[in-house]
Amino acid sequence: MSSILIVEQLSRIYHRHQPDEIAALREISLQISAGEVVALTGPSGSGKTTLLSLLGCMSRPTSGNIQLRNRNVSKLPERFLAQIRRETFGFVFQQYHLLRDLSVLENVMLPLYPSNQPLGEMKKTAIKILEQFELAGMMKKKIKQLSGGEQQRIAISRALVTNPEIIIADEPTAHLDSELSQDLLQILAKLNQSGKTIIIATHDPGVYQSSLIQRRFNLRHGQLVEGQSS
Amino acid sequence: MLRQLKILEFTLSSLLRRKHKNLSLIAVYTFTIATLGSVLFLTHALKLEATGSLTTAPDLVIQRVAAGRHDLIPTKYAEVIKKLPGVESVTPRIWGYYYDSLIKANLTLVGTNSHQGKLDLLEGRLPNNPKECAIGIGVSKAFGPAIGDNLVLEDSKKSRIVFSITGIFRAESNLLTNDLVVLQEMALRDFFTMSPQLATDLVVQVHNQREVKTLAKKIKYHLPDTRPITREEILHTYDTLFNWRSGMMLAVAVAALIAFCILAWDKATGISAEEKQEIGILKAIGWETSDVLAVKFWEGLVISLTSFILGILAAWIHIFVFGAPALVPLLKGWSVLFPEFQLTPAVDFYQIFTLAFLTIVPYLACTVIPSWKTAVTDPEHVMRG
Amino acid sequence: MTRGAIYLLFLSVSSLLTVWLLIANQAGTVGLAEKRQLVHILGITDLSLSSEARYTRHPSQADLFSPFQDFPAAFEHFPTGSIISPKPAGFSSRVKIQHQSGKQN
Repeated sequence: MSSILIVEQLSRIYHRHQPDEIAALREISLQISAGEVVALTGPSGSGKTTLLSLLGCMSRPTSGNIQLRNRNVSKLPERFLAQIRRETFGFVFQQYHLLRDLSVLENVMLPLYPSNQPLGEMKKTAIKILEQFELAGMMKKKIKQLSGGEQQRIAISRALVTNPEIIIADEPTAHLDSELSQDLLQILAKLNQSGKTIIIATHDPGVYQSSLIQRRFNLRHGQLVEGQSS
Repeated sequence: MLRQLKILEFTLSSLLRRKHKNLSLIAVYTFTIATLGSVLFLTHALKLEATGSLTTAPDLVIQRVAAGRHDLIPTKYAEVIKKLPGVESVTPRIWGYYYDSLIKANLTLVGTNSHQGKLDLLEGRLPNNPKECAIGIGVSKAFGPAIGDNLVLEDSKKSRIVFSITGIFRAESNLLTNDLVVLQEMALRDFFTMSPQLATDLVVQVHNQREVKTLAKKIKYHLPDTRPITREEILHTYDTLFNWRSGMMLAVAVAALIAFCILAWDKATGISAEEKQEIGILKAIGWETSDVLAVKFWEGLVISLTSFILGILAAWIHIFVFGAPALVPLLKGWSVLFPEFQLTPAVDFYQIFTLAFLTIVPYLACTVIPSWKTAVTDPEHVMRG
Repeated sequence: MTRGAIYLLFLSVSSLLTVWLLIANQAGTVGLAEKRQLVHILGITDLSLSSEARYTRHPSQADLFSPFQDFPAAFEHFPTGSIISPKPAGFSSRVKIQHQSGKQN
């Protein structure tokens, strides 16, 4: 299987050359293959989120390279990174990050605004995704009227609306009970079957020990430690 | 283009989320524009009214100044002026003020020698004998007489003089004639008990308009106790009176502008944590910095342009349909006789554009610039909740 | 119809209405010729806007000291005074200083 993401000697240092300098990541190297499901694990403060945001092109490393489909993205200007985020990645945030006062439909349409799709098609695309998740009935509702589980499914719909290759999920089960967590894993398994690469940051054993996860990267103090694969 | 339209669509949904906040913002903004626009429209219309109709005012009015005050002028000064080359005619004028303590109004009494009788803007005719008068519509409304009635004025010797009203000036001439009582010149001289050797001022007509200034200087040279007032100065007085940089504009506009600046400053001094978070989310899911700024730009433009247009419309209706009810008290002061004017719509586009520039641009800047810093930072912080 | 289309329609209609109001109604002052005749015959020099004081009734004819009749720094008696400035046009300095050399400046 070909590598979709290759990370070489990746470091990220905050507040560089200042007294409160923190090295969040230290010379990490890893490869993720297309169609793989990987978990980033480790206690809080271990650098999971930093790595996730670097992989998702939301920030740039202090040193090292990230190659996305053989293209070095670590030094690209912000404009290109935004395009990559939009076209290649789908993000599911821990706090969902939906716009509370907008409707379900408008939220799912959000990533499509900067695209070349006309408004009517954007709507159709969004409705199609919502139908897959059986959410079409509530598309006119405001986010603040919905339950946590519903919000998460909408967040996933929004991540999928641009048909991205890679799904990035940050602690997706943090706000779900065990039953909903199982549902989520099923959804992710289905997405993986359709060919998506999935990267999950989690410290929930229910997730990283599940059969879905093909590889696990364990982080401690910004470095990879033993027990990477399971 | 398509992208901008879609972003406008998002902006509108976004604005509708905070319906009450944004509607009240538009209301305040519209009110500010309506206030400033009203002043601009009113002053400009009055200025045009004055500078348009006063072009036929006397070429030169010669006053006598004694001890720094306006004083009656000896008619023999006319002889001196008449001899100056370029002078067409010199006419002594009698006019003055008359205070009525009952309705507490100041009337302007004007003497005329005109034999014209009929005027286009006069219902009836001008007085043609000492027992007659023509009055402005303000006087007629204040005292209630009609043509044919008598106007009784008490002179300074406490004797009552009766004038029969032969004409009332039409409402269209309100701004010029509202408080006038026009009498025959001799009748007015008697009424004021003014000696035949004196007049209120002298009106000088000049052959060549280009010589007016030179003549004014010559008159001042030959008669040092006089003050010549050229028509150009009269027009200039009205020009500056209702200039947008002076008087009324300053009095009203400064307060409104300051209020507006406070509003804009309040917005500019920072965006809320919620807005920051939102910008981060949009960027994280693939919006470019320029898209986020375009949303902010549209947001500012929708609010400011909508308010500006509504404000200008409101101002236009206020001034030219309803006759400036909110600004009239400012002009009126303590005057009892105040003309009910119907102004001819007149707009100075330069002023409108200035107003647009001074309100829309700062508002746009206040909406876009504070978001700038947030929009250019990496959206990484969104991952951290 | 989308919100954007509705808004743009509203904006263009209202701005067209505004521009039409501003331009189409600028017919010039109504009865200007008649007013000029009146001004000419009666020798009118000022608008009869405000009759509270003689420098507001006839701002172009008022003498140089009108608003300061009691005391040069006195506050205005009349509200219009804040709008109609007392300074007539064409008012120039008449004060000259003679220096010790005896030469006039």
